[in-house]
Amino acid sequence: MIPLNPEILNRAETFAAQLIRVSPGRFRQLLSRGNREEGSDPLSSAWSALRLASRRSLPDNQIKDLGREADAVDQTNRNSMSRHSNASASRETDLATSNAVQKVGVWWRDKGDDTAPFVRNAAPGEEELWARTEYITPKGAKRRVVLIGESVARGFMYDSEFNCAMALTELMRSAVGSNEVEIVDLAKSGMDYGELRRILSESEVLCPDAYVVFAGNNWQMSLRPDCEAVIEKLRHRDSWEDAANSRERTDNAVKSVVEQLREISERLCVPIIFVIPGFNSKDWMSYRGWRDPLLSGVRSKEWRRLRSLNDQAQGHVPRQAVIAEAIAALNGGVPFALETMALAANGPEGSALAERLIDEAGEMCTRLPFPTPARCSARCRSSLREACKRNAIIVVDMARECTAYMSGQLPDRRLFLDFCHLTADGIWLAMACTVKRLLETWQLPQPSPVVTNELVNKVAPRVHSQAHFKAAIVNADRDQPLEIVKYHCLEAIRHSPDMLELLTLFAESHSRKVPISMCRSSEVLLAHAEKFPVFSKLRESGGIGDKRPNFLLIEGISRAVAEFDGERATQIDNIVRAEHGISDAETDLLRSDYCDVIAARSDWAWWEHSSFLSTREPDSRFYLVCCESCEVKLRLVCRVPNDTIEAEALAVEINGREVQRVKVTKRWAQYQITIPGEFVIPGINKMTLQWPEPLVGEQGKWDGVVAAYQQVMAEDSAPTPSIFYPVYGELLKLCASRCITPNPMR
Amino acid sequence: VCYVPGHSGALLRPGAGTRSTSVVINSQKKGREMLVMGVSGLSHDAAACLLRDGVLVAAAEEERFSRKKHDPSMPKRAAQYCLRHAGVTMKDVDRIAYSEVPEKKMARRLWTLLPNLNEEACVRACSKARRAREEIRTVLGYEGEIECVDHHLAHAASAFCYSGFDEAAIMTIDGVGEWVTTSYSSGCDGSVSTIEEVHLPHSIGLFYSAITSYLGFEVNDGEYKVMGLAPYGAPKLKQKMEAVLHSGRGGQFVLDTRFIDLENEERCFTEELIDLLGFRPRMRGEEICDCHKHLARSAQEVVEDLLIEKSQYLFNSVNSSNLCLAGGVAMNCVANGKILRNGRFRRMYVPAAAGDQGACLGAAAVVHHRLTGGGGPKQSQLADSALGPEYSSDEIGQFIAATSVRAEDFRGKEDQLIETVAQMLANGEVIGWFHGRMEFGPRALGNRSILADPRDARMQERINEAVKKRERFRPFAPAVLEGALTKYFEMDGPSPFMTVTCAVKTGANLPSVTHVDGSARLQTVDEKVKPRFARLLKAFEAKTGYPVLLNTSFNMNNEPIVNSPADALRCFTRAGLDALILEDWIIKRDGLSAAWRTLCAAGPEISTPVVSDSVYASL
Repeated sequence: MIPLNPEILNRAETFAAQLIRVSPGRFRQLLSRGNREEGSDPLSSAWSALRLASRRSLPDNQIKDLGREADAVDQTNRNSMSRHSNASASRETDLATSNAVQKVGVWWRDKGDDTAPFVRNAAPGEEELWARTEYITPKGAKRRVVLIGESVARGFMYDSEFNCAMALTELMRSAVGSNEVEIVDLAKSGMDYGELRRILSESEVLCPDAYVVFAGNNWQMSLRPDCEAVIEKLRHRDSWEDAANSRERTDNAVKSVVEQLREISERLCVPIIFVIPGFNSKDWMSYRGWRDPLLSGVRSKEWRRLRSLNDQAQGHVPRQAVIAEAIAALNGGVPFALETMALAANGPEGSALAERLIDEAGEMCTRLPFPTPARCSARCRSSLREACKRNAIIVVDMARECTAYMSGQLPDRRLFLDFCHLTADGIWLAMACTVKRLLETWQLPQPSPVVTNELVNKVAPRVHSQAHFKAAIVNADRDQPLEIVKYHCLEAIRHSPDMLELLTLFAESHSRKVPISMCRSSEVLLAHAEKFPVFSKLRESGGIGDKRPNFLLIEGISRAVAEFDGERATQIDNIVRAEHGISDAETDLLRSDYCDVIAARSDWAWWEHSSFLSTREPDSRFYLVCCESCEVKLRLVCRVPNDTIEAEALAVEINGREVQRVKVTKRWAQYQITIPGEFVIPGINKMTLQWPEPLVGEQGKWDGVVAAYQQVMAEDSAPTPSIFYPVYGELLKLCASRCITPNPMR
Repeated sequence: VCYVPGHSGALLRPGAGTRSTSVVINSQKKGREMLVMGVSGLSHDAAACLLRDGVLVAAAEEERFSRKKHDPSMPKRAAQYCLRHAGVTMKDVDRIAYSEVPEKKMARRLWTLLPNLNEEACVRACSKARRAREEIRTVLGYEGEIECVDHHLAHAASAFCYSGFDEAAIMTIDGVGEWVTTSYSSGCDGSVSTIEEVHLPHSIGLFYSAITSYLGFEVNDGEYKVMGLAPYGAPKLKQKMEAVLHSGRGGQFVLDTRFIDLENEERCFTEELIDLLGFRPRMRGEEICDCHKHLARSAQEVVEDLLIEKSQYLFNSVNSSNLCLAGGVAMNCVANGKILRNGRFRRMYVPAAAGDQGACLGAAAVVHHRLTGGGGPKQSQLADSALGPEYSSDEIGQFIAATSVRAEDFRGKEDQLIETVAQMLANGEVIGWFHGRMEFGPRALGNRSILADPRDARMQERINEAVKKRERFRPFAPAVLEGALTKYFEMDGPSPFMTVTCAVKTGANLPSVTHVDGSARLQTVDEKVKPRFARLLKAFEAKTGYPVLLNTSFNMNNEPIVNSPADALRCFTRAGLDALILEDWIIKRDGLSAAWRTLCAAGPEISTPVVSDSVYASL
């Protein structure tokens, strides 16, 4: 039974009345959502508030009347609007454009009515991005902490079942009691630099007693370089690094935002805690193809040779590190080389050198001319530290806190689900450090919280399980090592044994050629959506377009499942072979199923705009599924951008072994290639086409990059990697078929 | 009067064990096979086709693959399908025939913009002109020579070269090609000679588009709605319409540009037209009033009169009793029917894809003819528009096995299948019918069709509202066994592509396929061309006495016709169909689980457009 706290009841009543007036549509949504959420935390659900209100002053039938009234008001609004020119205009849109409302992010209320709550009113596209805070009541007696931040603050992959705001609430309650502090969660996934600054200004009206700002990962993406300046520098043959000008941009951005924070802090006389994000230094590998777009032809060739050697040295970290050093010496703009070196330098006691190398790799990513996975670069972190110190902003430095928590080791999968998003341990750690600073600032004598098992276990195992399942998908999508994908699958199963069956079903749904929405296994998964809400997303997969199974994910699931139940793993493998195994008839490897362009985001969805794959990567990767070791016949129709590279050839590799080299020409030509059976393994094979280095002169490279920047300017769009690199080769047809029946003696 | 020529002996039949449809344009063989790909793109209804040694082996519209209605992009998926079907790649294609000349079109665009022409507009027009050739290289990956064929020549060839006529008079009518809006030609021995052309701004197609937009329908999509709406009105505004569009000397006519906005592709009329008509344009979604119905009727009559008159002129100019019609306006089946009945031509051929999608067929035929120097054996008639992808029963069986759908397997039991489906139709069920290769062109002709009992007066309303989610006034077409044609319809020649209307005979009792004016846009089914569909009609006749079915395209409002089994299943789930026949599999509504419906019903809601009930008063 929920306790009838008079203060809550008062607020609930006010809320109900305000809500009907401000956003009847939202009120109706809450009523219907409330029916599904009955029994959840009475403070976190607006429905509970309404229920409380109804218990005090409104009998059940009256709360229904409220709903009907809301419907009626809503309908009246709709009718009224439909009489005007824009029949589809909603009340929400009306509110958004009206001067009569006050807004904080996606929370709105009537201007001038300070007693009214702010009500969440997100546009459909933003509904899932913003914190689930349904309403924000006027400030009461409790101390109010406003949390602003990016997806890390939202607890991406754990949200909405666990996030930073929940951890902060729990820790503050434990420290100072439940009636002393309230947390207002205004975090938004993907919040960029500009949005952060806007919401900081808007949120002053909430009268916070403290701010917690957990941001910095997204700034590099949103602080695009001044293309004109870059072009000018490139024209003067400045170095790539100077042209990218990332340091200056970072420093200026940090300076501006921290000064804004200081002004707010001074004006409101409140402390502001800035949580500087950390990074998964040990387990995250940057994409191997990222490089300085101005790398010359000769150096590019050498870079590819070394990278190939690096691949061959897989599993021998010291040898890889030596090669990586050579790569780094050749060209400083290759993040993965430094990350490899860092792994070698990271001893049991940790290593300052490893940290430095990782930081440098991160810096390189920020200098690339296209967005890379979000991270708060070393430059950004140090700039933030200095600026915050100068402006009396309190800092929680997660990079340092993580290293300390890991006893000097590089932060890894224990604290991060992917590159920057935190595990539950990571969230508790970040918020425990934040609470410690808050208590110090408020000069409260309570002991600082520490991350204990008890704390971590407050998050339900199924929530952990689901987060790791999502992490497996995200890591596979970002082409991380198979071992990491498998790890997250294993963790998902470990936390919730139900996941064993569900992962098997998911692998099936993902492997079948039938659209996901039509697959039998999807229906079973949907039935588990109550326990694992991630599966409710299947409802949104109504499309029946090209399906794009991620074989890395399927393999990760299969290997993890095999550790618990070999039969299930065999079942997954059999489905993959039955659905995708090559036969005597030709299988089109250029189909989205088999063409691995997930990692090489430059080629993303090429089939949407072209009949042939035009690769701006030196290698094109494909999955070749075979039911057994057998000779495979390839039919290849391809060309290269110019035919002056007489001595060059296209190398066909399977599972890292070269099969054949073919001279390729400027015009389409067809080649028949036979892959010997001993090169082929039963199951998923990885085939690579290594293209010859295109003959692009120095002038051509510079001109190409300038042209790419001009394109970015002209289209005013986010730059994609593809436009900065030359075309290596083009594929019109790539088919595989079984050559002969397998030799029974083999 | 006979609708299409009777020399069906010239038809090429599918080979044993296949359902492929082939038409010989010119069978002259060279040392190796000659592949010509026809492409219509960068305008509404992009499409591609492939001629192998003059034989049309495949054709498809891009929208069926991209699932974007009237997709105007370069038809990469359609081209890929054609090549895949033929077992070749773009490397093997000898020529791409593009169905318009971009440079001429650019000149016309610049002319249209003349009053406000500036540097930016010039650059834009030039860039558009380059785009077609560029995209044929960069999107389709074609390296060889591109031949651009005048748009109206492509239209003319798309009708004549596939008509089976030795010689014919040809009339093409659309909005505008490069400059030409209407052409009069004669066809002989596979070549087309132009007699006269009408140039922009005088265009029947633009006139009809202007009225379509005035009535609140989408241009290049809603023209059928104007035609369907016309019988509900009276020609009270005909005089005013004649002030906008009226006849001239010879083949010429005049479109008064004071009333037409040539630059605006969505709102093709000017304020002067509003003043002339005396009522404001209908907004999309607004109720349809009497004035809208009268406008539709008046515009339709003006167009019909003009077309009949100009067809007479053509008849007098060309010594032939055969008429070929093509171009977007030739999709006006009501006008076509009147030309046939009131004109002097004895036989008429309108291709299944008379609009811009079909122009690629004509372009390919013209280029093939040029490459081979003409001559060669006589062309044969395109008897079936089924030129798209097909899926075997076994493939569909594998598909179904991966789902929870309960389906009944009739493989190897066609008689039982036909019997079962006929009984379901006779019981009043509405069926999704998926069989063989997908049709090319806007009409579903028994391969991707929704079928129902035409005797049930409530069927039109049910299918429009509950199934297709479209305006209730829109009529449905009947499919009738060719042999039973004259028993029910005032027509004595076959009409395989639903391109002409005729009167339904008194007492025929086919209310759901009889339009308000007593007409029907019928399809005749030849059992040699569509054996399974013909058997279904016979089985239905055995149960009901009627070898006639209501046949409408298998799609929902604003969606392209289904292509794949997955498309069909999704449409079946979302629409209120009672059963789906996927080749040899029958799926009934109760064969779908609740979870399936939840998953497959996802996507934007399709709602029936608002139309006043007054429209239906005369139904």
